[in-house]
Amino acid sequence: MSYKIVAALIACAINFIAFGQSVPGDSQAYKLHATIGNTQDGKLSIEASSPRPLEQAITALRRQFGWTVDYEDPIYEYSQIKLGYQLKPRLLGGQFKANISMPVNNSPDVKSSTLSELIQQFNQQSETKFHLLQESATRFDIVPDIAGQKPILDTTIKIDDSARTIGDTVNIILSEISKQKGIPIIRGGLIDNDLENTRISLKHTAAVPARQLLNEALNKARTQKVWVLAFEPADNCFYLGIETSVKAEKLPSGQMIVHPILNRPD
Amino acid sequence: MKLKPIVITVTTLLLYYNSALQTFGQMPCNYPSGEFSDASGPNPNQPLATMFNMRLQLGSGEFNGWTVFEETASQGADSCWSPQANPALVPEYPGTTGGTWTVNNDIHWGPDNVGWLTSSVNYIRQNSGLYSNTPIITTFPCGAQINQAMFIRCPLVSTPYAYIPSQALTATIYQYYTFNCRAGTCEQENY
Repeated sequence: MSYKIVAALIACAINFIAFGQSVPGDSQAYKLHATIGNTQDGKLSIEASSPRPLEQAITALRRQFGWTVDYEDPIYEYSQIKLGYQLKPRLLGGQFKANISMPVNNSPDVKSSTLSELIQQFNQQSETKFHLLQESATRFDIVPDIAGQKPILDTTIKIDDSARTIGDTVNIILSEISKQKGIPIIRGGLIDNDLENTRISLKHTAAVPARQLLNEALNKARTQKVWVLAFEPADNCFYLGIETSVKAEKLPSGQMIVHPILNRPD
Repeated sequence: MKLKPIVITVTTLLLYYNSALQTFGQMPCNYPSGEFSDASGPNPNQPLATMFNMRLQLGSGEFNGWTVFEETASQGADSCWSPQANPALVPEYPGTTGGTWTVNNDIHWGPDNVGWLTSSVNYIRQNSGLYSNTPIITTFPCGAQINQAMFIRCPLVSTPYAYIPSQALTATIYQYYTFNCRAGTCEQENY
């Protein structure tokens, strides 16, 4: 894909020279957060505007309902990249609006149909397509659906069954994908006690998709973890962020509290 | 001989009473009133994060083997975050991360890790006003605050006790170092 990045750089450099610093899209105002509301016909309305509008919508949805929904970026095409200061590539992103059925409960079927409806409407509005994978009764993954490009976490890898912390296990999974695909994948965010302190061993006799290994490792943590794998055009690599999956609740006082989703009881 | 049934009845009642108190978390455990945090150097795998080790207050040996764990008291905040930032590197709502520890040597537990991974520190600096006149990270220096509640579980009682209802963990990124604090105890990690 690196030739596409180079092509994007050249195309956008011409654009940059022609228009000075007013690169189209550079002054685009993104929404701080996706907004979720109720429509008059009882549906759920979602509006997002961001470099990754589907990811922004999913973040709002999963926090409101306490769902674990992971998100994976594709390697973006040059048409979706703009140049910022000092020709540094940035994602263009855009807006996304959806009206979907209100989830009536937290059953796996309802989660699946709600997320599928959201993705279907996103795909109708966007060049970049995605699809849903149900990984378990509680974990759903949104992965890119691009012709000629396999999602990076589809890469099949094999790791040995040594006992390690979850954090080290995740790092080995990422390193194995990087070796095979020649594209760096690096963990980011804040340090995580659950990942640092919990030791696990994954036992597989054959190579399996990296996504399966990643989810298996994270499912062994005390709290349920949700991940986002985000492509960074400026570095031409992927970053993996892992957070505790929570349900956010606004108290009458206005204070926001969060309830972690537990994999196992205390 | 006539006293025996009465003694048995009183003993049984006391056992039920104690059991009821235990169930409601009032007896028979003496809980810590708080704890001291000691900064214990950088995490060996993540040198910009700090390990803190704790000493429970009012300890007299009875906490050995008890479990402590963290929860998020209220939603945290991250001044590094912006809607343009890479969400894998800059989380908007930092929270506790499900840490659980066993108390040893009477009153000690840890480490509780606080801080950013190196990849995020690099990204935040590179995309701040330090290196760009149209920065993605608009506030710098910047940092994350986590509001942590600490619970302890007495082996005799099923309900955990919140011995610290809320305290701040902060991780701030500067140009040449990070500054990580737990309940007012801080350590600088240079990078």
